[in-house]
Amino acid sequence: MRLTHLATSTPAVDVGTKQGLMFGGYFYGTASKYLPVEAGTYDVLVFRSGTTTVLGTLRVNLQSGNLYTGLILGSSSNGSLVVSLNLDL
Amino acid sequence: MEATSPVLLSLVLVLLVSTCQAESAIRFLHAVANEEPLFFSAGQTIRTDTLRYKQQSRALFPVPSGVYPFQAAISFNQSVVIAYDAYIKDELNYTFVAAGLVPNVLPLLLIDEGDVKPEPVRLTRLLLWFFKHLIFPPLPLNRVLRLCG
Repeated sequence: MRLTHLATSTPAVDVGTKQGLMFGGYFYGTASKYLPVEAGTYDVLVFRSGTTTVLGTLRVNLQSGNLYTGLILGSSSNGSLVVSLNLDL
Repeated sequence: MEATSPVLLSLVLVLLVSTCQAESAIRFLHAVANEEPLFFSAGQTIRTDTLRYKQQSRALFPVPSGVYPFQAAISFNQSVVIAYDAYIKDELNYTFVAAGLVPNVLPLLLIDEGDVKPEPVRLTRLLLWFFKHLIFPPLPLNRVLRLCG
């Protein structure tokens, strides 16, 4: 799974679950590398980087052997921030 | 040497052809916030179907390496929201993203790292291998067997 921060007027974000951080410190227009993630269902949380302020959430069900891109879209400045997941392969 | 040369030449030709056919692949993602459906194009030959916000093209379009004039345009009036020239390198897969908000649309070219194919055969290495075998032809099979005991 990888992450892309595509939400305008939105500060840097960290992304993780209640169990821990997955991606840290991503700015608008940047993307992470693919990281291996165990298959399963996760409640993904998007935080304002370096804080516990939650900007968005998404429940995802990751299947074994697939590649996913997590998209952070919209904007946190007008409350339109959304988190989405695309299946790449 | 006379017997091995045609075989070697054929092998070299096959390898050269497979090297020259090395291609990249690209897909497209509409991430322009709450924008109308878009279609993407790259030059004259590549054009996607209409993609909704947050949707990416399912197809991976095969492309030879080179510079491509990527464009995203609003489907219903053909109004171009982003035009961006990007270099596509052999043997990598990419996602071209249009993100942000009109009129400040951000182009992004992501390398789909998980899809990277093995390193292609390098032409220089191939030629070195060819000349080496031209000068020092491989041993006949019966001699190899003898050497191996």
